[in-house]
Amino acid sequence: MGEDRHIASWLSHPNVAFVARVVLGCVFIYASLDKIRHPDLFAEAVYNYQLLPEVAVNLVAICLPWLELLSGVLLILGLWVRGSVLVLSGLLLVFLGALGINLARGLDIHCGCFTTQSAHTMTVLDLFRDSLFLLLAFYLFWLYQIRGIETRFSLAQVLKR
Amino acid sequence: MKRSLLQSIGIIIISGALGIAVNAFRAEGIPLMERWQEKVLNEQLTGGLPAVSLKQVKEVYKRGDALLVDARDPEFFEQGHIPGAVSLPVRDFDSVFPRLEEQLRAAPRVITYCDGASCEMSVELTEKLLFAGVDWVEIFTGGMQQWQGAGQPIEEGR
Repeated sequence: MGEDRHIASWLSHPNVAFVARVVLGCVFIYASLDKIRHPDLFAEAVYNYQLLPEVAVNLVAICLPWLELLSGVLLILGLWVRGSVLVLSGLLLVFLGALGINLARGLDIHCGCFTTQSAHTMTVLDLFRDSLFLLLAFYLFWLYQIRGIETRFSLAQVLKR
Repeated sequence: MKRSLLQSIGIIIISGALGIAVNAFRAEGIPLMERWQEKVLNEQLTGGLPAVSLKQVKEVYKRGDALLVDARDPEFFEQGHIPGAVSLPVRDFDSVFPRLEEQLRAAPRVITYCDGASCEMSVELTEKLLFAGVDWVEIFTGGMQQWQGAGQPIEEGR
């Protein structure tokens, strides 16, 4: 019992929460950059997943990287943290679903997760990696949404002063 | 939870608007919608070289902002070609190219074509033009067959 309380208080520590925010934010910012730089190649990666109707492929390829970038930046800055965590959790669930479906289908395509040009096709490792990020996102969701802790180390705090 | 939902909707709207706005103003921007199946099929036909559809050729033909290049032998060109196109038979490339070089280099966009999906002359010509340093060369894979089939005008003679 005391052990559980100790873990919960450690997990709720503002410094730990801040590190988790920065890590997840950086992951998504980094993931967005190459996709923003090469929208044509990212659109091809989206099309290759064969999950969206053709009319939605380019629109997703144009908007999704900006969603990753903006959510990542807001998460690090500590602005709209709950909304960002919700978006990133949703994105990770979608990514995991898409990866899982295509691994099950046995499609020989590359992930397109961090780079638009890769010689490596997707593997279970991509699924594992995204699961870890999802765990991190769920941790932040638990922290800010369920436990309702205040966002520390945020731009909002600085602006309030 | 309501506040979180509102924030996430806000983030989605702002990201969407940012993405569309940046895409509209940058050189690498892509169309908002594209016929992917047709594009992939065309790329398979052209071995990865850029291809254009009949619709796109009709648009550039109306605007006159592309130079259409017929890759077939001269006798076929004389029998009928897309109005305004120039003849650059891939078989006579080395002898005809120097005559057209200036015009090709000055063109903002070059589109090659031949009979249709089953002919490879436009692909061969595109490779030669790109090798010769002509920028932005694309292939109209539908060629004369698709152009004529769609009831588009034909020009005869040289």
